[in-house]
Amino acid sequence: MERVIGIDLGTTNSCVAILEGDTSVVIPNRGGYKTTPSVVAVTEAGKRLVGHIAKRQAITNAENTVYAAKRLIGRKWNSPQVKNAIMTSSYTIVEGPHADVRIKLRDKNYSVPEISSMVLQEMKIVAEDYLGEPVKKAVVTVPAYFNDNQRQATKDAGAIAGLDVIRIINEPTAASLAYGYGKDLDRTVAVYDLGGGTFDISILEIGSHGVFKVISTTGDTFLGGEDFDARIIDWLVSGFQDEHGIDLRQDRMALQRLRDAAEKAKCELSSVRETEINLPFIISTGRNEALHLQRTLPRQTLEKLTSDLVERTVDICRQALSDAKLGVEEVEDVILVGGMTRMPAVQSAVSGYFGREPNKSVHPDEVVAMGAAIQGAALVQDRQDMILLDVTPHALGIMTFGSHFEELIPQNTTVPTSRTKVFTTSRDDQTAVKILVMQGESKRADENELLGEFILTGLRRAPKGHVEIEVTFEINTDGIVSVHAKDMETGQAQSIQVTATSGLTQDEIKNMMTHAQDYLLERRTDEHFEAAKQEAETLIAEIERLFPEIERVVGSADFGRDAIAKAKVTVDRARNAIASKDSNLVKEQVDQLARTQRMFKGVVSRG
Amino acid sequence: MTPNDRRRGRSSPTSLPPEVGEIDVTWDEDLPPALRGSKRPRSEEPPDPDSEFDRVTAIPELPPEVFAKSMKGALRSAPPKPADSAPPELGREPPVMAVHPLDSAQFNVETIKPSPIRRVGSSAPKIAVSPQAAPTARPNSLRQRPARAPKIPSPTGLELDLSVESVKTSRPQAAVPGHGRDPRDPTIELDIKQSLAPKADPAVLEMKDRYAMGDFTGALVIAESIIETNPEDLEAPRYAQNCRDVLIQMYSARLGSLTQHVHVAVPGDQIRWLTLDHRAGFLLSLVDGNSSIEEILDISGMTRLDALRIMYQLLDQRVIGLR
Repeated sequence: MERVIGIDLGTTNSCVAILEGDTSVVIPNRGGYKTTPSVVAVTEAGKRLVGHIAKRQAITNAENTVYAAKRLIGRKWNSPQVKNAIMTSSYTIVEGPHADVRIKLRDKNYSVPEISSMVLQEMKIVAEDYLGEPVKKAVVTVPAYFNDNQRQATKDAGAIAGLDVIRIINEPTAASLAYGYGKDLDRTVAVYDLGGGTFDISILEIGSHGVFKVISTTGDTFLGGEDFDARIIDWLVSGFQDEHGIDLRQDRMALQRLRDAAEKAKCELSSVRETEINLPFIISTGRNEALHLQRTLPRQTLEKLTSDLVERTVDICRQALSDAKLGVEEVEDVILVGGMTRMPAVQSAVSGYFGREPNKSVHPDEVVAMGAAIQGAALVQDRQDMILLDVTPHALGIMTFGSHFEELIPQNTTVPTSRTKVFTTSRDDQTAVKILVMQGESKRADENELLGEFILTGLRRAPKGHVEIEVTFEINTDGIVSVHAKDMETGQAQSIQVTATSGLTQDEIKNMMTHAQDYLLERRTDEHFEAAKQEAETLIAEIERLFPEIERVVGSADFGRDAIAKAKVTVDRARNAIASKDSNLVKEQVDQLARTQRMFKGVVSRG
Repeated sequence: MTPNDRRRGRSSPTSLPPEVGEIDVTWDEDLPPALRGSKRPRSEEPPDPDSEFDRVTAIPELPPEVFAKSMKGALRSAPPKPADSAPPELGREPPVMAVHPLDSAQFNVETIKPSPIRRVGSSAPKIAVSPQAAPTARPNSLRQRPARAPKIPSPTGLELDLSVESVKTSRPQAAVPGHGRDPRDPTIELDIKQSLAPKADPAVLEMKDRYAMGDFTGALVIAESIIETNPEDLEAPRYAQNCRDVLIQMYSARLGSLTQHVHVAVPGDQIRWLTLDHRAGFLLSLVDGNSSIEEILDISGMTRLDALRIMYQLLDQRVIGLR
């Protein structure tokens, strides 16, 4: 049966998992890490870097390193989130051809799904290396607040990466799924997700028979582990400034080291009471004298530095419960998600607010990907008890007089679905109405996402409130929203079909897919070559090491000299093959080298 | 001539140009004084009060930085007068250099053909490097260094294997872009066209001299200073690029395969007692035991040349190790 991977495509880190038997397994990357930073960079030489390696140069190559692309995915160019990102990002954000967002790296503009696809492709490679077979299908998680466009953009990112995204599921739902996997639970839970860059709190109802309902979700897309790191960096920088009068922020290399050290110290302080930050040669003075930074950071200091951040998360939890119209005592369990929830101060704040110890049975970094993997397996195995129902992530409706939002299809409605509502004119002798189709939960229309608009004309002239217009919303199984408006008296009708879009055309997506495939092919070829080259070099070194011994043993005989000469030719050929960068040629030579090495070893052992 | 002979020959810097025996055509570059101490026992080193001028490649009359600064100052203040701004006086007679055919036994011979002058920004000239030129063991000993120099790519793109046979005068021949004669002819003797020199900018001459002598770092410093003061200069960018290419090739060869993994070879508590600058400190901080040289170069945020140079210095100082 085809394997389906579950991918947690995070703002700062991503994770991939697969269901093996009845166990969800998180797949480590080549470095042995179970999470991979969602960071993409292009080096001066035009080389693409993804993951840890990209993160490690994020400050020294800030203009060409994309992080937190998830904050931009599926957004329109003129959205406030994009405007905010333009102000705060170190990389260049430009307008795309379809009022979408593009990111400039070196001399090329990339769409946001394209950037995310690079991360997804990396996760795909990690899974393929682990499984030893190609992976085609995936379930990808997104925040519960993602609208249809953002979800579609995530799907497109998967397609560009060569993945068929068979389902997009909400992150808190995935976490709950992993948490409730194998248990027959019926309870209300809070998913407290404090990741590297974002904080989300979701209240869910887990029903028996696989019903996972997100009652409320809220968060802060600019609150996460990076803010905690920033506080440590501030502390280090100001201490160094006091001691030496030098602002380390002015030096990119120093700042990169500070950031790495701050993150490391923060992680360490989750398990120890104090840690030492030691950065030798952090900066050189004008007199070419290198200075060192060495400070001890106690956990208590970190907690003091970041107490307001932790408090902010509690305020947001309060908001989420208020939105869900639930009391704190009604929450029966709290699931911790995200690496930051390992911080003792965070755990204590959560238990303090919810009045119960948070559940620690699931791994905070891995639980979302594990849930996605469980869902993926259920979909291909057609296990109905495990399959999540496809629901509308947000309410759908239209804008009415006074910029109010009138909801037709509530959030979490199972699709396919259809709802109808009757509206009236708001002015005397009104002959046309503009139907603005929107998505969101706010009562104010301008706070929701505009999906499309159309005008229904030919209404009969009448006093306001006398003309009745019937508006019908329909969502089919593919998630396509159709909106019909009909003058109930004249039968005059208009309609619009709203398809979620990532801002990319099909042609663009196809092009990007081709490029991604070419990249993958090139990368695989390079990897094969490197592997063959390493093998050949090891054998060459071994043969050359044996030459003196061989000469001593058989050098006086004709056949011995002949063997040595042939071996030298083989070594030369292998070197030429390496120089030609032809992996097939190198592989051929590896066989020859291996034979020579075996022969030499045999001679030496007998001699 | 052993490497030690070369070192002794070079150890007393002089304002006079180097004698032929002093020109070290091996693949080596200048090392900071701090690094030299760790390279070999003190006993082997001749007393050298002016060791800061002790360059492994060739002896410049002035350190390139000093020369570059003086040139920049001179260029900014007034048009240079040849008599004032020229490097220390040099002899009139050109050196005689013989061009030898490439030794196919040691070098990967590539097709040599006279090529048009390389355009600025074009791809680096390919240098055929003997496998022996890239020692697999630690390349910190001069004895381990290759006996022969790498091919020095002339900015013309010709791949010549230059070896100095005799020098009659102090000013070596400047490599002249476009100076294309068939290098495969072993009997050809390159003669210097002195007429080129008098009208040329002294900085340009100095750059070419250093380039011809194999002092690529010095030539690069001067080339960059010329570019800074005169961005319109056509020759300097070409020389700068060629110097970078050679130096990159040289350091890459010294480090060996760039896929080797790098590890810190000094105990953590001793690192701060090393003599490093913050750039070396930064590069060292990237060494985690899992990353290859290539990966560290990618993430260093420095130019490839700077990163390679520092990496080599760290290796030479035994601060890092490769496996």
